[in-house]
Amino acid sequence: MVFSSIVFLFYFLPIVLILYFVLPDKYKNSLLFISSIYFYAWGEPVYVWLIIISTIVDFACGKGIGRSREKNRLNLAKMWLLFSIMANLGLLSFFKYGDFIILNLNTLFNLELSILNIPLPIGISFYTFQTMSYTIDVYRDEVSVQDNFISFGSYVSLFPQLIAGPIVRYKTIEKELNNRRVSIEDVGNGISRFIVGLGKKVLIANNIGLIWDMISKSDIANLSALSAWLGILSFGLQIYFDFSAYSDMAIGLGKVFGFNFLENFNYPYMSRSITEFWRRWHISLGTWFKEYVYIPLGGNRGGRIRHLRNIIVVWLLTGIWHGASWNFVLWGVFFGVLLILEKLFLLKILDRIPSNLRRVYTIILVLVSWVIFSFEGLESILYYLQKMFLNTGLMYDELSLYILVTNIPLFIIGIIGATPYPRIWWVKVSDKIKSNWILENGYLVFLLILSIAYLVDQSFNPFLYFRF
Amino acid sequence: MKNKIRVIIVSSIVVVLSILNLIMPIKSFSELENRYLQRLPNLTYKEIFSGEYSSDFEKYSVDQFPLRDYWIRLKTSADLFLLKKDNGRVYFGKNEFLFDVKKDTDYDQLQKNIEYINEFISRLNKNNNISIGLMLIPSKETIYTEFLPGFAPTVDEKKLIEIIKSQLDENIDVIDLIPILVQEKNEYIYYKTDHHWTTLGAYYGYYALSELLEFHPVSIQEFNKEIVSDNFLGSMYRKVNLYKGSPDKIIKYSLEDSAVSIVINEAFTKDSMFDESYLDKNDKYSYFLGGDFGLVDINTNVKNGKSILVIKDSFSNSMVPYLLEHYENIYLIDTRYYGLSVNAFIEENNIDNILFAFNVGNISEFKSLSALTR
Repeated sequence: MVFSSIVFLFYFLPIVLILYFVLPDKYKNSLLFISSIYFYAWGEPVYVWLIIISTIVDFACGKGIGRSREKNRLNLAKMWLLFSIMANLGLLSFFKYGDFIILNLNTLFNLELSILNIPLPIGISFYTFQTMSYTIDVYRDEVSVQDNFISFGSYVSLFPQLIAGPIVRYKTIEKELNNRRVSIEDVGNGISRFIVGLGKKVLIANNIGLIWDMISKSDIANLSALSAWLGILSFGLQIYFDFSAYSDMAIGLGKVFGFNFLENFNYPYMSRSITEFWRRWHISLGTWFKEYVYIPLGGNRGGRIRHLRNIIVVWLLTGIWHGASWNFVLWGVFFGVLLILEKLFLLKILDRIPSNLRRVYTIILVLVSWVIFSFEGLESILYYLQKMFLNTGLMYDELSLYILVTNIPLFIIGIIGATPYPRIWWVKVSDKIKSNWILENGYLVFLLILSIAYLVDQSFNPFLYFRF
Repeated sequence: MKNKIRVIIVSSIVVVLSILNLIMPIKSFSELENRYLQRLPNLTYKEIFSGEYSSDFEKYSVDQFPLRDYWIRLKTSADLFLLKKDNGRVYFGKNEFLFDVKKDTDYDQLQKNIEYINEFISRLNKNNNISIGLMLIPSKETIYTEFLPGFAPTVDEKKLIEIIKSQLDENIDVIDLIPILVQEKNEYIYYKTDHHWTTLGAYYGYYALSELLEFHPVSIQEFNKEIVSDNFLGSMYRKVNLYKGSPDKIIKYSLEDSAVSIVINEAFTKDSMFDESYLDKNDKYSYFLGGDFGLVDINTNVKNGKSILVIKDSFSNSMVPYLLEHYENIYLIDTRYYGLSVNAFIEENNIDNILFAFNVGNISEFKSLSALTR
């Protein structure tokens, strides 16, 4: 199930919320666990057993680590941790990377292994990473062992963040899992956050996505330069509004249920360098790799060579995390190399340049990265980049003018919406208005009503993360 | 205060709509969209585990949402407010016209199709002295360019016709209807909500054939004119769900004494060129001939011994009735549904004229023309 659907908003959510606030505290986690499993099974009626097995394995491993630690048998604890990591990565490799590995083996060694053809279970990359954060942190003694299976299960499957992030580490909600209080303020703020997310997804991301859909499906060889730029700009806006909207909705729903997830996006398109971009984009993934890969590898200690190696390893993994195909590897390496260059000397140069020029630099590189991200074949990627940067075709054509003219308001809303200025402006203005709460609530109702209208006429409502 | 009111308002909206969801009667048909709506799916093991149940239930939740028609209107109004001119499938044109948003032309397929026709012609027995024509019917985007939204990209059908003309076997006479239909564009020659031409548009197509096929066309005044439907919402409409103009009219032009006997796919017979049962259905264009069939064999009461084979797409379904006055036998073959050899069919039947009649877009898209080489 996805948040941006009538089934979620008008069947699933009201029932769960009413039950949640009616039930006494001790049953609340059971309700969350059961409803989350239902939420998952709605879209994956078969693969739901995977998440249940994963939960059982990591619950057991967590207990195993705890018990071995109590008895001071650290090697045994390490075995439990290793088992948990192997189990999670095993699941991930089999279901996500199985066919990719087979295809590459076939080309490399001229084999004829048949592919498995398994559809990727939704959200597997999110929940395996979450459960690993639990066992690793138990091993590191940073969190205590969860003795209640229901509580642990509700953490792993918690539907607000289940299928498209953010990747909530166990330590973030450890305390809230067994003891949380919800005030009317929390619920109000949560609702506001959720509706803003819903509007970002349904009103902006889906509509701008239509432009990218039209351009990416047309014949790339005949694209004009303007079409190519409008296309990738649309994709950049679509993926930002879509992905950050999911995080907004997750954070908002979390608040309503009494959980405080960490922020996942912080106006990434305002970044003044690629280094800064990755501190503002999909923050939970960056944090995860930093905590569980980069720092254990030694981080920036141990000399420049090891430091650079660690960066490249992290970015290879970040790339492949986004999908089992070579373009995602290339995408990760692209960022890895840029980050290394910035660390070596680019940042020093950038420091002398005005902020807005630095933003142009960042956005152009990020748009190039989206080209790599969205085409599987190297040939298409190069073709598309040629259309953008080399004058190999028409500068503009009817398609590009048509798209520009009929989408100007949408582009303006999207670009302004990706900056913090509207929020800054509202904070300033609302102080001077006495009844600003009427305006604020009126705005939210307007967004909600309009979003429902766009959901009822479901012509284009894609789920972008089926490869993650 | 602020938060309390927000919680109350938003939860009331959600709860009221959820309850309405439960208590509103289930509709089976949408008048506005002219289609059947999804009903509550059956709860069976197979449907649940295949994922079909949840996807059907989602369709159901959207189709049966309370006040659905108003939500859709709100959405389209918001689109138009944002200066949108299409919904990815259909252009909202001026003058209440809905146009098809066509993807790029497949020039390779066009090339192949021309070669298929040429090969077909080369295999015909030259002694039979059959006259052969190709009528190219433009799409309305080509005729009513001024009603398209500004800069709207469309298929360049004039260019396609040039390609066809330059590469087609010279034994085939090409009839390009673009100039003829452009001349008559002030009349009702294309439906506004469907991609086909009207019966009047088809009449001009028929008229243009007279020189090549050597018959005296019947003047339009001589036909009985009858409006058989005034609430036709066609294929374009079905891709938008909202239309502010009035529905199209289907007008039937007929002569009184044109009795026919029709054999379809050598299997069943009919005695009318029109199938009235479709006038109550979604797909009202199938009123003409009852839709597309592989082989239609029409026997008229004009005993002049002349015969014609029309190899065609759905555009011809509304044009063929005009031919009844000029041929004793009319054969229609639709390559999409015809599984046998067309050449063999011509050998077996005594045919004087062969007419290819295709929409320009279709002739560059159809994959089925390879059937001509059988």
